[in-house]
Amino acid sequence: MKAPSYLQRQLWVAMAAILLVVMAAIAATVGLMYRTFDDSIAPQVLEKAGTAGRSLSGLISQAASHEIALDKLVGVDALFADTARKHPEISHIALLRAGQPIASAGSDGAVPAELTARLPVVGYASAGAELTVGIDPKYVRKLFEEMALDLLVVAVVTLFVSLELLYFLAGAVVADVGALRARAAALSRGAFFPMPQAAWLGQAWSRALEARAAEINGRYHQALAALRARWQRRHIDQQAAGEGATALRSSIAALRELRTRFSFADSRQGRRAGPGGDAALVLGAMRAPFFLLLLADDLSRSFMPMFAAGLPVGPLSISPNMVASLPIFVFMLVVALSQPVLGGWSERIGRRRSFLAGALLACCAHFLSAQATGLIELLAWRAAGGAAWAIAFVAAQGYILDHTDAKTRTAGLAAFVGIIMVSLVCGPSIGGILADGIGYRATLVVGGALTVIALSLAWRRLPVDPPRAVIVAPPAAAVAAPRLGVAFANRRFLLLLLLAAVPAKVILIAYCFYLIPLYIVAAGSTPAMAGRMIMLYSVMMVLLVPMMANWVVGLRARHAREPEALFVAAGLALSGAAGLAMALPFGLLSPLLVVLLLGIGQSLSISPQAAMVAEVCKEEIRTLGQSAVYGVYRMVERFGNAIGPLIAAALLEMAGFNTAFIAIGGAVLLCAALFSLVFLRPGSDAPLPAPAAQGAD
Amino acid sequence: MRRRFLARLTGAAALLAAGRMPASIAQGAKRFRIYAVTWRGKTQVESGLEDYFGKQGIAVEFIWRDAEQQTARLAEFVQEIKALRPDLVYTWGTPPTLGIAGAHDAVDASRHVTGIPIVFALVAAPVAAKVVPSLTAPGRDITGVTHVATLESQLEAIRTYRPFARLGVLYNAAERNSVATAEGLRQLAVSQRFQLVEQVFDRSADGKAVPANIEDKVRAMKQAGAEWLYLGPDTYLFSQIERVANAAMAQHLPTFSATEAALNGKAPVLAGLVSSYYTIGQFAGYKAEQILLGKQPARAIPIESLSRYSFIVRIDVAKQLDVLPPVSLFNYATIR
Repeated sequence: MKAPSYLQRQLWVAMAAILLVVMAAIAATVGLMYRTFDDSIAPQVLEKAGTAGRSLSGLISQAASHEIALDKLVGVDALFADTARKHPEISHIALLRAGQPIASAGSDGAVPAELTARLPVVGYASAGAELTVGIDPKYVRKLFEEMALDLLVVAVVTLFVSLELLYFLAGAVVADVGALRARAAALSRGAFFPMPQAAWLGQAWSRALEARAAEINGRYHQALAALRARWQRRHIDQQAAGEGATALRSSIAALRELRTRFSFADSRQGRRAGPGGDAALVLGAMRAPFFLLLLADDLSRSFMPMFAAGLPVGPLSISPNMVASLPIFVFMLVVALSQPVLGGWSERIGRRRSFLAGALLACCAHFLSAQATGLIELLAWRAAGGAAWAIAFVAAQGYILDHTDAKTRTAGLAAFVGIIMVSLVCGPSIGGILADGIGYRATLVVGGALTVIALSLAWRRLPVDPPRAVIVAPPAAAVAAPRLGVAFANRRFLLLLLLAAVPAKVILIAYCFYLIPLYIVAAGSTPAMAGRMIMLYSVMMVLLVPMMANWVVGLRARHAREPEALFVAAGLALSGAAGLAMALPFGLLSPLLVVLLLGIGQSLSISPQAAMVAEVCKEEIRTLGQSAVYGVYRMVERFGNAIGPLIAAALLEMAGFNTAFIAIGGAVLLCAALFSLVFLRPGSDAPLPAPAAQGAD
Repeated sequence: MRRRFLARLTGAAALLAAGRMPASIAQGAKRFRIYAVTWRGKTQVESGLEDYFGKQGIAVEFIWRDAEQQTARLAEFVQEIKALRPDLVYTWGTPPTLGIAGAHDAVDASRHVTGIPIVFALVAAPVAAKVVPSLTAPGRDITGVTHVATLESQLEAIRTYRPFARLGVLYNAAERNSVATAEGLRQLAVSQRFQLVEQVFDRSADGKAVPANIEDKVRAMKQAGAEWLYLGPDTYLFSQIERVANAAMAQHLPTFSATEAALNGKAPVLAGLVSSYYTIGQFAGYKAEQILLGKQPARAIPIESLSRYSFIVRIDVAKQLDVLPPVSLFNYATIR
């Protein structure tokens, strides 16, 4: 990448300052909310318990109205016990006469006075009757913890979204200021040809400069036309030639002089910045709509299985667990199948047009999913959503490949992966909270609304596709149609795919997107908790993947050895061991442990595994090109994504949660062992080429 | 059909107010003649029946006959019906219905009414009593309204008031529906694990129940450990309800009734899960309307019960017995 310009440096400083302010604001808001919540939670729960108490008191008052003596009341204990059972927040209910309990339910252990509601009993006032309802301090604490977790999620998501917003603004600022600067520079060199204008910042100024340049251009052309006419007349009318020749000649000389000092629209084509030069502009324009599209999809990650399981299946006879897995399966399958085809298509019709098509399709898919009345319908819309996701993915990737060169591509792709990870941090967690509050369907509608914004942003900001002829040769890393034959011809590549790549994806999707959401909701918790788990995984990815990649690089530099295979084996083994954590009796802590181990495991293996492809397929890369080989690798991986939930659903159906977790974990452990046998034999290593660009999902 | 009936009940007034054509005009000058047979005189059921036709504006002429609890009189009614040829026959209770229409598997055209639609009310178990082979497909031109909640829900109601291990039942073994009820209780006693303490009314030589030794029978049940006395939909039992209830009171034995009438009189019956007699009569009127004006054959109209039952508790009896209802019952019981 070029050394950052003055403008860029200033922008970085400004962004850092803004980010600091934003973080302080988030911290302050969260702190304030925390305190407000702390003050209001107990009174709120007490109020709720008071409502239950009033209904009990009213019931007992009815007995009074029938002139039944207080000590003759029947079934009060049972009534209290029933009420306490229906209200998890109530720990103790008692009917007191002159301070002495005559009926009660629950343990009156340690209920502090401020958590006890005291109600009079109409009709028994003369008998000194009083009803007390005690709140469970544990319940209040749990509510508080839930809220604190939600606040934390909101804080993290706000931070990430602010970052995205800053990128977006910075992109716009860089683009507009860049355009203004280029215009000014061109004018100062005497260039009047048309140039890109600022779209937002300094729009009026830019337009005025452009208008002035166009005016000068127009005058120049007028003069040129007049001169041409006179020149032609001179040829026709020989008589006039004599008197006008001198003037004409001097005019032409003046024009020549003018053209040496200034350049006009006819002298040069409006220049376009070459690849790399406008990368920042294009990536800035693409970033926000792409992020919103991804976010829209990720919103439903934490509850899609539950949503599907609740829909009527129509004439199909499939178990609810299988039903829950189908939307993920269909989505991932469509992504896996469509991506190879889409590469060429997106290039043919243009990035902008294909991105817009993807956004439009995503928009329809979300709104239609929100109103789906049956499983088949939902699957159809999820398939459309998968296609939309794949189209947008390929288009966005294409933008990066088109506008970066060999030197800047890695950074560009890293930014691309960053967008995907940030969306996976924000989407499931916020989606879970939304689903808790407004329901599954409304959250899907919110996703639809996000795609509308993405569509309009893309429409307004994405640069127009250059005419087809302008695209020179396809960039080296452009997506080529993968040839599966590659995988079968190279035994080591096949083993790498089957023992590492596929199991890693199977266990990831099976656990994170299917088993954990279902398990958490089955254990009595909420989609919000499921969303938090997925968020935890994504945050770990964001933090750990670069760290692990650096570690590998460092190891290689220090020991001149290739630690990739070891990392892949260790990562796989950890991922597999994650499943065994479910055997431990930790309740909701078990899935937490699963996610933590899975996060570490996956972050260990992701980059080294991609690097190993280059090593294992040296020959194929030389003959077929890197993109063809990586195309195969990605596609096979994505099949792993698709079958993950199916395998999990089948195991869950047959043997329940624990067995499903443990069986998948065990199988992955077995793959790790076999992988070690094949790839960790001493002497089998060869010098590695530079790690290839990371694909991302 | 039940839903349409309920909708009709609430919508009837509005229909008339909106100036829609009353049914009396639709039916022309003809007044329908209904031959109505009661067992012990008119009850709230008949008021509901008459009022229904009045509210719907259907001109009806009733020919009222009361059997005065004598089966023999029913044979006279059959002959009269054959001579008068009314548009519809209405019967109250199981004995009159069986006396007029005959059991479905033993119809004798000379002794029973055939060819004229019959609508009954207050038949507790039409299938068990052999009035029809099936509630949804009567198989002959008889339809009507049953009034008793299922035995399961009645036992559940008794338990909500006060759980029991032994349940007493006193019935007339000469009544088919009572025998069916007792059999149902015996089966539930096995599946729900309680003990049934049975007593039947004494009978004379000709098989008719007689009011002898009622107090002794109630005392025997109490001594056998019965915690409740269940009063089923038994026509003879109802005729002796005051004696039975007073005997139970003397033994401090709470009583639970399947029919509303037992709770309306002077007899100190404690509680019951019952349909309102008046509404039953209206529902029977609705079914009669389907036949008379709707021109539907009675066999095409299902036999139904009302969807709602009232849990009635008589608080004075509860205090007298010192068996007060649990507080939670005040939520949904009707306290009288």
